[in-house]
Amino acid sequence: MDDFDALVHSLGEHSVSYLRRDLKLAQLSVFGDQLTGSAFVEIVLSHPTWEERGTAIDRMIEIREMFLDEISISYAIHDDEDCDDPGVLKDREADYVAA
Amino acid sequence: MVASVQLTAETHKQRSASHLVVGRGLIEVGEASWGGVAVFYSAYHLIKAALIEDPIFDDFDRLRALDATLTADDRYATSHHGRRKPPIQWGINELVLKLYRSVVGDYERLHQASIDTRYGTGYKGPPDELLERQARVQASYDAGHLRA
Repeated sequence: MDDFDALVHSLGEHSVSYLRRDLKLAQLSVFGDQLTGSAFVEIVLSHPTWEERGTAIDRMIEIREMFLDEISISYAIHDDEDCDDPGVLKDREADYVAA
Repeated sequence: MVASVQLTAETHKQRSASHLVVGRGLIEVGEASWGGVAVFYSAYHLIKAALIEDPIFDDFDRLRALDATLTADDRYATSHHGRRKPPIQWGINELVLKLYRSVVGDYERLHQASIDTRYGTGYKGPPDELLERQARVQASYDAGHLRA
């Protein structure tokens, strides 16, 4: 595992850890771009309330701040009810997946 | 990304006001999803104006003390997110986090509302919340608080 892979893995692990404190996390995937030093975090929550979506945003603000010097982070939050099959997300080659 | 053509702070403020009118109008007729997109970009243009006007970008020593990778050109950032591999660039969301922490919660929620509409299944929160969050960013800007 090279340095960037390790960084993406760390980002995934920290994101899962932070989100699972208060939320029901169905799946989290990280797609890293070594060329730009950036990553996209795709978050699937299980039946989140509106307040829980807000909590997820607050956690990702903390994560972004934690990794601010190392990687540029973007993210999107989905409701597993809106995903016909959460497994579809796995068809894309994520650099980190937690389910 | 730093665009080659830069709008002035005054133009950004005008665009912000215009987008807010459109956003409010859409929300009032029950179209909160696309109203939220316009309201987000109202906040975006306010942040752009704040960055252009922020004197920290004219003070190299203060800027570098804040973060060694910040440059004067970052006041003209246009992309939401930057890059951490050379050429290192800051994105707007990262600059809000670094420089204008007091509005980061509101700004991020508006941005996510915009993402939900454009790429997801639409905005599902209270319509009034969109305008309340923009109003807080506006109030901070108007009070001169968006200064590093």
